[in-house]
Amino acid sequence: MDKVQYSDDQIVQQCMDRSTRENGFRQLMLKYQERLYWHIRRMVKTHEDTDDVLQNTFVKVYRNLDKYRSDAKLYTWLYRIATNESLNHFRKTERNKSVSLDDEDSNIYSLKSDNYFDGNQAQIKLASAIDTLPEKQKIVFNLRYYDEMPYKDMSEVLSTSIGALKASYHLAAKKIEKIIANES
Amino acid sequence: MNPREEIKDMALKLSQWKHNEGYTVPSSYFNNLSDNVIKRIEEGEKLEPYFQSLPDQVINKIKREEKVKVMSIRSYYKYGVAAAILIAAGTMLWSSLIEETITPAYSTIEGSEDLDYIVDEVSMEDIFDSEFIDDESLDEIFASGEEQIFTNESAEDLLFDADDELLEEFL
Repeated sequence: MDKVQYSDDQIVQQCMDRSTRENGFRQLMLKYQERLYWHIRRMVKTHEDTDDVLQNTFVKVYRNLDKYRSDAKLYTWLYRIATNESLNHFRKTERNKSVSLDDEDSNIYSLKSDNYFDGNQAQIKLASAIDTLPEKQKIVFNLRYYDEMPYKDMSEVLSTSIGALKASYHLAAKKIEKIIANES
Repeated sequence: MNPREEIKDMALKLSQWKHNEGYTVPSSYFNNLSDNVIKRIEEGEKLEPYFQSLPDQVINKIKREEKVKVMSIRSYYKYGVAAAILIAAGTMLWSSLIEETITPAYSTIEGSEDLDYIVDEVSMEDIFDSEFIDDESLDEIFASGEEQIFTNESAEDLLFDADDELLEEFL
């Protein structure tokens, strides 16, 4: 597979043509797999779950290529699908989870037991502080803080007004700052 | 506003934290990911033709069955109409034939009162004198006990003016 970076328009064009669809789709995955992986990983935490959700995301993208409308940005469309898949996974696991620890302890435990996490105590604290946010506010925070996504694009991904997103992010950052300050 | 500037304004401490989150990924994970996804899609597509075509097959089957039902109802309707016409025609023909055979009888015997009157009017003398009744029929009437029909008169009345010799000869 060549490593030439295709533009979104070129990828979409290839994906829309059945004869070049597979190649176009491979290009799409190469271009966005890491960004989507980290977006999902921050929500579902473990690598195994992230792999599962990411593959589901791409399968869904492939099956819905015909429904993609070029008036939306390709990457916001991908983020939207990945976010929905993550939320679905999150809700499924929440339903099946037997509650023996409180949420914060449970998240720290799952991070520490993950073979693919080697963060220090401070990183665990930050992850735990983010986990105290409500589900959707957590997504807003992650998209802005880690992905540095413009509010306009976030608005497309989450179907929320820019004003509401700014307020949500502001409150989330303040809350996390307070938790970190208290713990340190 | 730039996201990094923005976070500095909002949460200075948070802005100083490195973005490295401590998560790691298995080596060569991203090299194999696209192949794994394509493999999953292909495996899914192998299974899909059955399920993809299933709704169409079901709908076609339903349509076929509906067509058969419509056809059968139409043909039954035709047969039903034909049968109804035949039955009506048959009934009319039958009733007209029955009328032809029954009407003469009813025209002469109109009700039981008339019949009783006729029977009352018939005496044993009429029977004996009747040239339309032969001796054999008369014997049968008496043998079957039907003579009771004619017993409005007593036996004495009937035999009042009978000649003894003739009676002995008859018996």
